[in-house]
Amino acid sequence: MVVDEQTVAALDSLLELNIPPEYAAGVAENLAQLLVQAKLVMELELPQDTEPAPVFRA
Amino acid sequence: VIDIHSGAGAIAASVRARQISAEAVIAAAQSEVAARDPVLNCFTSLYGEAALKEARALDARIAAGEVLGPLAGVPFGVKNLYDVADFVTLAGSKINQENPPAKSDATMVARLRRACAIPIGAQNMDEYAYGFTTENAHYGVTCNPHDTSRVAGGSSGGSAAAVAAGMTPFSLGSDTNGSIRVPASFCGVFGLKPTFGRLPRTGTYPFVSNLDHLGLFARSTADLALVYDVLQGPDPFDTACSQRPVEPVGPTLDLFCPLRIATLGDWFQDGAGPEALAALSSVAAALGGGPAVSLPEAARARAAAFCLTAAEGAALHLADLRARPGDFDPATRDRFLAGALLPSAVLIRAQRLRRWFQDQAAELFRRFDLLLAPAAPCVAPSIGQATLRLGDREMPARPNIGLYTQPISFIGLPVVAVPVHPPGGMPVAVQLIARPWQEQTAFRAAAHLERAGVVGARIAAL
Repeated sequence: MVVDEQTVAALDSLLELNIPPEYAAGVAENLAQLLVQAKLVMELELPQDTEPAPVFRA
Repeated sequence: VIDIHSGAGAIAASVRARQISAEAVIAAAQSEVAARDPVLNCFTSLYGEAALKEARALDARIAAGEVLGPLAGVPFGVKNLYDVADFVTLAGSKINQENPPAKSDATMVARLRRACAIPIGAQNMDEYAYGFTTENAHYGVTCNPHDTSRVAGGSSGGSAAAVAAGMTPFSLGSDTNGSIRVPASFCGVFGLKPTFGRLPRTGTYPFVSNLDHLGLFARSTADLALVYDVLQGPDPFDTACSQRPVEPVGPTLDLFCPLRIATLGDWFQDGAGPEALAALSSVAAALGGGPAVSLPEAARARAAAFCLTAAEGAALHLADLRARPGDFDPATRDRFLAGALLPSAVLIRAQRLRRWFQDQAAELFRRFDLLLAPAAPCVAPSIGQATLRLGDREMPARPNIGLYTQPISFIGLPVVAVPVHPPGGMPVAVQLIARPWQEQTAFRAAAHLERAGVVGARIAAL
């Protein structure tokens, strides 16, 4: 997947972050790095009964 | 004569025995800071007269015959994300300068004050703890005391460097992905990142709540243990803090018994430089040696921690990212903004992977008591260095310094980072990784290594 300033603008429109155009290239670069890591996370098949592990204690 | 470099235990003993006054100790520490910090930039604010006043109050209590706490008169510094009453908690940011001063101390600062230690100032860090170098656009770079052309590591860089430079015997830091273990390695001091949930986080500025650990730096295992034992205990205001009672490690430091050791291979040595591998080898040998083992899917665990950090950090700062992105450090702003754009499915999967990865580590701990890994792939990089050479690859420096620490904090394992100083070279540290809640195993091994002369901290000559 190509991550460029247009990608950032499209995602930004969903969240209404209003990312200034001068930051878009830096954000795109970081998003590209992040998506490489995200791919590693998503590729691993996990057993269906593996529950998430966020921390909350009532 | 005050030897401000003698360590927390020795200073407290001298103050309690009335051989020196707490006021003289604090004044000596302040002189060290005045002499060294203009070069190093460890501190972002100093408590000056307030610290001296606190010391004089302690001296009055001693004069009245009161027996003071175990850290009587010991100066310390705090990473500037800890609340200290009457001072603004910056968390390395410009934005937080607008906040009012803290009304009360963070729980850990309060516990240290109760033990009669005295905070002398707040220390530099990467903005909002998001970094491994303490090159802060607002407050400047913290230089490495062993070579001022190099970084101190981060994000608790000011805290580690102040201890390495002899300004304070210990400092408080925080570690979400490696922010204690990396600067401990680069500055050559001991670092403790306890089990997730061990130390109370109330009154500290968060980063990633389900990954944030608090801990500390010191120049000896004994000092690390002395302070850690004061800090332990439940905290009803931190939902992640364990209800476990205080489990002191200080009395156990001399009780070394043979441990089943393994060295983490694969991911944890891939790309490691010769200094990191040599330190790992010497520490493993001194602990009796052991096999190299694999912690499965460590690369994906690190990736999951990377994604959770970007997304949760972004969520925390979303309002400011929308309203005033120009007030962020550019090095953190673009990463936060990218994190805000990450699909939610990745985060749910990352949390599931966390549970699965925890089981993989538990499997290893059925066979071994202690796992060893480098704390960083290399010695401290130069200030401003953009890339690192990892094996035969040239990689961006900032995202890759925490390669070996991130999978471990991802599942909250306790670690003592032990420093090795090669002759004539820059220091590196090795992670002594124990089972959850078994900090004392890592402490006992660290003390054994220190007695054997394999690891140890040195005050840098400037």
